[in-house]
Amino acid sequence: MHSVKVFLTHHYDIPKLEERLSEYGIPVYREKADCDVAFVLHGGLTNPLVFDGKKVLAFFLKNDNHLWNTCFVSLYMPILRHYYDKFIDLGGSKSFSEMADKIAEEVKKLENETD
Amino acid sequence: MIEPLSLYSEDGIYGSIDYGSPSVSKGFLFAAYVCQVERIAKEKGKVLCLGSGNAYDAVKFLMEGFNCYIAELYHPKVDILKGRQVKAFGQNLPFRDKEFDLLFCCEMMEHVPEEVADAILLEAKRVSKEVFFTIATGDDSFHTHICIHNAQWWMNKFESLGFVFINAQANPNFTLCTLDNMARMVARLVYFPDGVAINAFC
Repeated sequence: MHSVKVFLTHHYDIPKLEERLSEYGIPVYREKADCDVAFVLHGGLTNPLVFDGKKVLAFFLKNDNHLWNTCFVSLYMPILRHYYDKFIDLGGSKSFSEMADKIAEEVKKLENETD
Repeated sequence: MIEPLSLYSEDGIYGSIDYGSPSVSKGFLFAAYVCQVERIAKEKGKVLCLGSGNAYDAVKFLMEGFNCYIAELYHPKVDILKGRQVKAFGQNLPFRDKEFDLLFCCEMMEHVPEEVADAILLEAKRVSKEVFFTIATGDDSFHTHICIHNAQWWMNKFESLGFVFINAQANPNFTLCTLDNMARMVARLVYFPDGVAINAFC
């Protein structure tokens, strides 16, 4: 079983998300920490090179923000593909609670994934 | 002052989860803009990214088909950059005169001691035919900016060293055009409210 840790930069403070993730027993790390898989929330403001092992970037595109979606998909993603091993789309505009549910589901999958 | 080789390393600020993110550095957005400048895009020439940190700008140039190299103290481990990274200080670049068509330097000059700024700019002028610099004019949250001056100060410096301006802007604002997945043209502004951008012939 892989050790998967969820990371979020200090630039963001999302207590509702963290609270919900803690119900799944998933802590959110604000500093680099050893793990097999780094599950990174918000790649735009995170230094991807601090993580060892497999790097997964979780992102979500807002249904009502066409400009940001285009910017992320056409500008950021092609570059970040050189820095991350995998991308996970958390889906459109979700509540923090729904996002946490989705993150927990993906973390579980990554923990059980065979290389 | 912390020695630069220690500061700009994995044991220094590049070990922080918050430092060197793609959004904050803006390097690749400015690189994307430069790739759209017709004169530069037509040539697909040899580019040197100086002080490129996590090197998003260099990755962008390589993806766009430029022959891009990096001169930096910190060498990020990114596959596409293999064989293209040279460890060097800006005032002593191990390259021939006018070896590069463009020297691209995004948000590095504010990190160097003021007493070596002229030497770095003259070395840039020596190795390249054209330069594109962006420089922050304020401090950052990591307090790594040690050469803080306003846009006019930097423009005067470039001019006094003999650079010929193509485009020089305080609080620069560039339009970046891209296509969305429906192939519609979308314009995005690359805005650097606390900085200066200078594109000049050498």
